[in-house]
Amino acid sequence: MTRFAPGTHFPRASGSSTWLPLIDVHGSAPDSLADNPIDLRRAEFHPAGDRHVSQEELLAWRSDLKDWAHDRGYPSALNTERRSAWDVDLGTKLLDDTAGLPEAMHPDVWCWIATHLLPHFVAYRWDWPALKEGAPPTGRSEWARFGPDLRNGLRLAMHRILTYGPDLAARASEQEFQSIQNRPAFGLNQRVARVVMQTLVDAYDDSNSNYGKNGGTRALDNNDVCIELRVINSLRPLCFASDDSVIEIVKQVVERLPDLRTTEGRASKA
Amino acid sequence: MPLELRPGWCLSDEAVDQAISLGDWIVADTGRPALTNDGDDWKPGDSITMSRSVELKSDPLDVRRQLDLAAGQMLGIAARWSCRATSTAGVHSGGPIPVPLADNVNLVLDVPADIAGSIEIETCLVVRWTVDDRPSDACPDGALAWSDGWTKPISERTILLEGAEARIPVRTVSFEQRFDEPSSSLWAIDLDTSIEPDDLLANVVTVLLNRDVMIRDFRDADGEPDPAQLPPSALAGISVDLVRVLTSALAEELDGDEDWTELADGTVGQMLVLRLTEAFGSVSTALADHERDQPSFSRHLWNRFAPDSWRTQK
Repeated sequence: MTRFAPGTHFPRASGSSTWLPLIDVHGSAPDSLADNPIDLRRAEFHPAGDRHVSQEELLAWRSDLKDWAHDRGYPSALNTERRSAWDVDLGTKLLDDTAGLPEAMHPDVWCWIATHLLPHFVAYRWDWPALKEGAPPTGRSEWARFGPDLRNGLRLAMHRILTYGPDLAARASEQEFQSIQNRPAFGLNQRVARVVMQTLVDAYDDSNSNYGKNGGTRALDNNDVCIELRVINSLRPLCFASDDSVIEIVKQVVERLPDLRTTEGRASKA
Repeated sequence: MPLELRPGWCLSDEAVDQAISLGDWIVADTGRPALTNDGDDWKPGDSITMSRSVELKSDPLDVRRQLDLAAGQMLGIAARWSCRATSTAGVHSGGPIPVPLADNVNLVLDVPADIAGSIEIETCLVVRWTVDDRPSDACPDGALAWSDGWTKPISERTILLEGAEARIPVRTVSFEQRFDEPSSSLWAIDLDTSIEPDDLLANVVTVLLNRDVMIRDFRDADGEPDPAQLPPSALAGISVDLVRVLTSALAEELDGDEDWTELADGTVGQMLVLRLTEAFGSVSTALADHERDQPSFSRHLWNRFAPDSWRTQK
C-alpha cells in the first residue's frame, strides 16, 4: 500500500543532462549519499499535479528505506545470490510504497528519484559508471542506470517484479531478463513476457529439456530462443495468441535449440 | 519501388479497404478522435478507453471471396497498444484472441493508467483456422494478414499524452470559495511569494480560472468548465497579466547585473527576460517603462500579446 496520499505527484528529471548532478559524487561510497540534499523548488512537476510531494515526505521515505536496506545487509558487498534477492526485495518494496500513485511508472519520476533521492541504492547495486580517461564519464548512455529508460536501476527492479512476480523473478537469471527486455516487439507485453519466462525457467529445471543443457548454456540458449521468438512474432504476433499457444511456440523453439545453436551462432559470427 | 518481403498470405491495403471500413479511434470520455490529442488531454493517473468501428462493406460471404479465404480459414481483427516510456503494452478488450470478422464490430482498447509520454496503436487482421487439416502450404493459425502499421507511419498511429515540460499549471477554482467573495473575474495569477529567478515557472506560478464564470460562459456539453473555449483575447490578457505580475515581483532583482538568459529552460527568470526583450527590445527599457509609465508598460505588452483578431465568434 502506498505511503503517500492518493494523487501525490513526484518531481521529474528530463532532458539529456539529467546525470550532471551525479558527476560531483561519482565514486562516493553509497552510504555517504544517503543524506544527499534535495531541492524541490527547482524540480519539475507535471502541470496537472494538484498535490506535490513535500520535501519532508521524501526525506522521511528515504530514511525509512535506509532502515529497510540495512535490515537486508546494505551496504555490505553483494554476491550473485544476494544481488538477486536484493533486486526482488527492492522492486517489491518500491512498488508497494508507490502503488496507485498517478506517476508510479513514470520514467522521468524514477530518473529524478535515482539521481537525487536514492542514488546510493543504484550505485550499491550497479556501481558507478567506469571512469573515462581518469574522469567520470559524460553522456546519457554511461549514466543509464540513473536515467529515464528501463536501464534505470530502480525501474528495472520494479519492472521485473511487476512483469514476472517475485517468485518467477527470483528464478530467472540476469541474462534471461535482459534477453526478453531487449526484444520489445514481444517483450513489452507483460503477459507474453511472463509466459515466455515461465516456460523457459521451467524448461531449465526439466532434465529432459534442451534448454541450458545438452551442449548449451542458459544465457546463450536464452538469447537464441529470444531471437527466434522475435522472428516468429513478426509473422505471428504473440500478443494475439493465448497463453497455451505461446507456451507451445516457446517449447517448439526449445526443441529446435540444437539446430538454432548452430544457425544462430553462424549468423552472429557472420 | 519498395521491396516486398511479406509472405504470400498477407493482404494489401487495397484489398482490405475494399472489404472493410475502419472508423477513427475515438476516445470514450471526450468523443473526439484519439489522434488529435495533445498534451492537455491527459494527465498522469488517467486510463484511456477508445474504440474504432469495423464495418463490413458487403455481406460476410462476399468479404470472404474478396479476401480470398480458403475453406476453414477466417480472419479476426485485433488491436495492440504499446507505451515505450513505461515499457508496457496490451491488446484490445476481450483479447488476446482476435475478434472474428464475421459482422460489424467495435474494437475497444482499454489502456490502463500506467502510461506516459505517448502510446502507439496498431490495428491488425489475423488468420484463424477452424479446421485441423489445413493445406500444407497454408499460413499458421494466428498469422498476421494485415496491419495498418505496414503503411501508416508511426506518427499517424501515435497518441500524444504529454506535451512539453514546464508549462504553467492552470486550475479551475471557484473564486467565491477561494477568495470569500463573489467575483466576475475570469482569471487570477497565483504567485509563490518567495519567487526567485531560478525557480521553475511551473512550480511557483499558477493561472487560476474562475469556475463560476467558466460554468456560465465556457462550459462543455456536460456543463463542465472547458478552457479550450476561451477566446484568444482572454488568453492574451492572461499572458499580459502574467508578465506584468512577474515583473513587479522581480523588478529589483531584474535591475541587477546577472544575465538571466543563462538560466535553465523553464525558469521564471529566463521566460521573463525573453518576453520583456520581445516586447520592449531590452530588459532595461522594459524596467524603465515599468518604473516610470505603467500604462506605457502595459501597452507594450499588449503590442506583443494581442490576438490576431479581437472579434469573438458567436
